[in-house]
Amino acid sequence: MSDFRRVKRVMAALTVGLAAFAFSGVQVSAASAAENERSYTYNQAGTPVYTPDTYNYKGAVDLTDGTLSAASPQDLFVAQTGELFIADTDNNRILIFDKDFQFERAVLRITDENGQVSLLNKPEGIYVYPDGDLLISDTQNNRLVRCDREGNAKAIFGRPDLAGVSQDDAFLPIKAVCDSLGRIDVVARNIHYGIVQLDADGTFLSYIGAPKVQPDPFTLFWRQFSTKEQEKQMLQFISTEYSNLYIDEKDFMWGTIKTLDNDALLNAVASRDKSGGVTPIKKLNSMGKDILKRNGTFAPLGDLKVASSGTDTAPSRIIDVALRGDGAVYSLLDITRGHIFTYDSNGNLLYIFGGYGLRKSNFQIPTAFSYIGDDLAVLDAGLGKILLFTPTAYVKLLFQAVDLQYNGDFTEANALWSRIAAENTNFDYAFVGLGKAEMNGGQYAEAMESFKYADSVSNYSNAFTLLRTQKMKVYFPIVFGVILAGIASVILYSRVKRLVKRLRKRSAGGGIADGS
Amino acid sequence: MKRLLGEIKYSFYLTVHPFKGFWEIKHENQGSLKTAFILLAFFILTSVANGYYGGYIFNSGGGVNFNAYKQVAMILLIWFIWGVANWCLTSLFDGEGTFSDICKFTSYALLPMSLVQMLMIPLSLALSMKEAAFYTMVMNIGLVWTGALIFIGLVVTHQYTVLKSILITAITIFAMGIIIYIMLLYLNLLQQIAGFAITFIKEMSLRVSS
Repeated sequence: MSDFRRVKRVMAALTVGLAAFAFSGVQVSAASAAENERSYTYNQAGTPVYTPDTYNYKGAVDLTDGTLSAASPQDLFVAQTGELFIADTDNNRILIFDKDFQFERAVLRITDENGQVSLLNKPEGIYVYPDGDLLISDTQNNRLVRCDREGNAKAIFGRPDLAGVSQDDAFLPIKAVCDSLGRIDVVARNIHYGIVQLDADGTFLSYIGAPKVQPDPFTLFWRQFSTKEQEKQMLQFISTEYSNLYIDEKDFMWGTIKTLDNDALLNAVASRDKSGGVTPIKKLNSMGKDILKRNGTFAPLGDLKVASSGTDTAPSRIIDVALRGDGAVYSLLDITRGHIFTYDSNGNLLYIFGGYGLRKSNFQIPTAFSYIGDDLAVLDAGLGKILLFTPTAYVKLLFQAVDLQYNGDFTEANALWSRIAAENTNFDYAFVGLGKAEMNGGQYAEAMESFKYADSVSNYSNAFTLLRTQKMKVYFPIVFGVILAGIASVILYSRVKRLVKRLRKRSAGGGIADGS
Repeated sequence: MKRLLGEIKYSFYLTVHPFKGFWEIKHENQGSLKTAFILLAFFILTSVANGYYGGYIFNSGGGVNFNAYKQVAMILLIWFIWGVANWCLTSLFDGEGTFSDICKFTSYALLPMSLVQMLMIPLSLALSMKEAAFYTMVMNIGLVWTGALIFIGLVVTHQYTVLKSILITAITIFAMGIIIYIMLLYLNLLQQIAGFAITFIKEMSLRVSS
């Protein structure tokens, strides 16, 4: 009987203990859910560290003309006027909203020069010329349309004569932009040679920004024995398709690449590869050369730490790029985790925010995003909405500092970097900025401390060299002087000693001489 | 005490006259295990000091982040595994050294490396990254010297030919790998058992609470 009671007591204690354990578990999971919302960045070691909140949810824009809501919208363009253009793909139309996010009009029909009317068919891309014309990637109609906002076509570009692509393969333009010379750059689905460049009247010029493929000898050897079909299949393995385009004011084209090999991406992170060989983002000049700066600790590759096993192992897939202002800061949109990465023009990671979830500030299927001033507008195909985010005071400070640095105003930036470093001690880059500013101000010892904190060895070495030179200038004359004085005194001493000896000898000898 | 000082003094003589030196510590009672341990401790001391006080440029993982316990454990572990692996092999391949002989020659051979490490502390505080080549050169000299001493110690202590010594060294390193592998395997097994127990408790607690 007593045994039974003892067992019962033990069971009760065990149950209470387990319940307490379980309860603590519940608390932890709630905390980790809250952590999902937090902004973070990576330190020099590639470890994720929290930053203060970066962007706050401001609200959502329902993409509707009053009766029909957007279905799977694929592209967003913010014109200089502040108007928003949305490619409402599954409703076969382009939506235009004014700068206060009020519905303005929809473009459904295209009237060509001969008065013939045709409908849009699943347009996936929209670009707006500076003069207000629209350039629609009318994907399933295999054409590009330049029209005004009433839908009156000024030019319709059908399938160009694409080099190296079989006539059987459909031309499926998904994104198109136009440079200041009127050349049109097109990203088309299933074309692996790079960006299709057309001249102003739609004739094919060339492919640009093609990924460099270096075939290994084995592949070349194997090629000799393979059939045409096999070769075609092989091509698909090396393909690198662009997923999005953005053209900035200086005609530089920013292209994102989604189809990169997982292992190649993870390897680029692990080896801190900054050559740009494997990159989800390129900044192309008019020659098609990638001139993106990759001077950060890591190249802009998205997330650096992914789980090595489980369900969260995929690297980031970048599907869009957005420039703030003239490109002192740019952001990348990741479809794997719904993260938004923000870098400065040198390629330093500033912060990461955003993510999937069921809160109103979370994404479901983000497809495109754009800056409106300092605010961010993210188009979500799953929600059929644009989510608006507004920067916190911390990010505004960061923008200010980066802008000053971008314009070469280092002394002004100094004060800001020290404020940012005080607000976010996790942010290594602020300490690098602070250290550089201190170095410019001649405070080498302080700069060394900052660089050491940011774990930036090369900068530390530079500051140290300057400090060493400075110290040498001060102390070298003294040390050298002391050494010289030492040598001189030794010589002098021996000379004097010899002189004294000689004199003594002479006087002694003289004495003898006198005596004799 | 006087004898000990004499032996330590002799260890410096040994670093420049290794063949004679290793022979005399084994056969002519010029060295002892006590001195060997002192030299090992000196090596540990200099490498820990290097970790703590070495200049940041050449030692970015050092300073406040430096884990002295880990460093000491690493050195002792490698030293011990090397000794055991070498002893196992040389007993099979009729080497003449006992385990204590092996401990002795290995520890004595560490002296040049200790001295270089000691020299490197002030040097690393005075050099910048541009002069890194100089730093690595001096470091490599110490490393090669110690490596050569270990090899000569092996030849002299076990009375091997050079070719056989090279072979034995290679096999010893291989054997060290096997020992470490088995150790890791054992550790992993323990971890799995612990992991299983933790998961079991967690699972039980979740079931009970829901």
